[in-house]
Amino acid sequence: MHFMRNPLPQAYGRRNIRNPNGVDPDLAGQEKPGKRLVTIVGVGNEFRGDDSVAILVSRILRDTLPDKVEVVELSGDQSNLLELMKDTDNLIIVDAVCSPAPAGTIFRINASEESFPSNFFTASTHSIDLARSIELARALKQLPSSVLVYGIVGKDFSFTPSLTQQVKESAETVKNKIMNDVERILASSLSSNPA
Amino acid sequence: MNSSRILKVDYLSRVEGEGTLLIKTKNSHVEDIKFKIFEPPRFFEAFLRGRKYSEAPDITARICGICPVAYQMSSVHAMENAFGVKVEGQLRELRRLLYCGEWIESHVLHVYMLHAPDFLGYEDAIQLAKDFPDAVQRGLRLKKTGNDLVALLAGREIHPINVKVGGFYKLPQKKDFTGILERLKKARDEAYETVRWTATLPFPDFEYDYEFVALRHPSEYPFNEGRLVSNKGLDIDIHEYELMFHESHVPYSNALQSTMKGRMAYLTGPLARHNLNFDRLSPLAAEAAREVKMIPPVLNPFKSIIVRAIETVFACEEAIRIIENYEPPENPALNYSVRPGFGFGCTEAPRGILYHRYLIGDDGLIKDAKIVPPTAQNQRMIESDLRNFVTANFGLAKQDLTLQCEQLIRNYDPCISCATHFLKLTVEET
Repeated sequence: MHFMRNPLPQAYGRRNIRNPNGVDPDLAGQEKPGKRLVTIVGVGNEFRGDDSVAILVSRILRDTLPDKVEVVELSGDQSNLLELMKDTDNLIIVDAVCSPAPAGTIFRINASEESFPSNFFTASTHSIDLARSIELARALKQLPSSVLVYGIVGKDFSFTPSLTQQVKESAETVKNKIMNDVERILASSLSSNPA
Repeated sequence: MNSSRILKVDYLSRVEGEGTLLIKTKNSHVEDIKFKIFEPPRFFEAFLRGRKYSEAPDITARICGICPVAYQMSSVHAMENAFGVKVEGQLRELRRLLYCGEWIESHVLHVYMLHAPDFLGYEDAIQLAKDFPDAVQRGLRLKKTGNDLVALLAGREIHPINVKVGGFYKLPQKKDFTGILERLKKARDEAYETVRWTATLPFPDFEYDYEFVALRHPSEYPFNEGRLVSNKGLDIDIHEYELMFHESHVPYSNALQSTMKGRMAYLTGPLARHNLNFDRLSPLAAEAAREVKMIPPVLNPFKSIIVRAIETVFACEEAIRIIENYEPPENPALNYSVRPGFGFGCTEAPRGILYHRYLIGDDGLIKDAKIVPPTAQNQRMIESDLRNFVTANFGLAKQDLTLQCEQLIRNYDPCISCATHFLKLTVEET
């Protein structure tokens, strides 16, 4: 990845992401669009084996879900999640998980109702990880009304673009669960705000 | 009365990487201090050998997720030094601008998320945020501005990819800075507020007559250029670094420890830069320092948190100055010829001086590399500080003393991952 030579890339294939032309409204001095109803965030590194599972899920969802659902890939500083949380009512996050549980095991945490267990915090403090970002948003009272986190247990996090079979199968399962979540959120929104 | 204690921190939190601290005391005397770095060695210097000179900036940037710009800067300067290339004008200014972004994101993360909770008695930034939401929000806004500045210039906020020997791969246009300029102006004001806020924190009463080591430039607060100087007479060109500084291995640490030949441990980082370069601060940063009475010499290492805030004001001011005067150069990089020989680079990472030295062969391949990160250099000083601090504070309850020892280590914002290219805490009383 660090050998890439186009340092200011356009946002390839990101039809539904907030900055489709690769221009961050913050940087361009533009006004941000209003609050999103649903935002899906895939966290991971597409070059680190099973760590790429959330990226895979988010790319499939991007091509499947309606445009009003924002899908974001996050592979850099996860403190960016704090910004995303401010701008959405319902947040769904997918991430790979290191766990003694068998590869492909799916965890579903309703973070708007329960705190993250401390063992979800990673050792590094030079960036703000996913669990800390969520707990920080909770402390700052910035948590969206609904935050769902899907964790998929990975097995191989080495430098490879391929996923282990169990993880690949779980990606499909999580994609279907998220589509059901989105359908429920959209239906609920329609019933509370009929056209 | 024969009393002995063991202060032990098995896993030091709010530092980057893996380390522990063990302090053994007996009869009000510190018997042993071990600042153990058990993060495995990473062998960067070894696997740089045989790689092309041009790969060094991107490979070494991978040493650290928070100061990759420093690694890129020290490595490109070393290569340019080897090839006789001098990057000047707007290209040099853009490199300083990139460094501004890194200082903002690194300093702000440390001030608000890692160190402030110590001073105010909170377990972490999440607990701090419940009682000080405005301060933490301010920190998050500042950090995002730093992140976005790095991403704008170098493609992404972590592991930037736009720096090359001779300049950059791609240059920003003037219009690219429109949004970030206004945000930097707000960030400058919030950084000033950060100086005032950190100055109100309760500081342990502790001072030491340090030898401060930093770069010093004829006219600039140092980022990427200058002579290596100290407050005790050191004044050398960076190519003389290895004549004056020595690295040694101690059995309990995977990071080499640095000492100055014939002298004691030394301190590098924000406190050293502030004490040695106060007269080079930008106007508003100097004004902020004067307002909170941070006039050199500042000898209390706990006050490094204020210095980081002052340097954040500086970085915002400097960034604004560079952007307002920016005219895109004709070419993103200078032409040069590869030639064999040694190249030396030393720049000011957020945590202190970062030295690189390379030997380049006739074929442009790296024959030998030496990288000395700031945390490795500060290890001895951290151990010295702990010895002096524990000796002066034997009266404290064990739990309080242990917490303050952790806080003391965080004065240095140590980056263990960099140092091993390197914390847990244990205090034993026997």
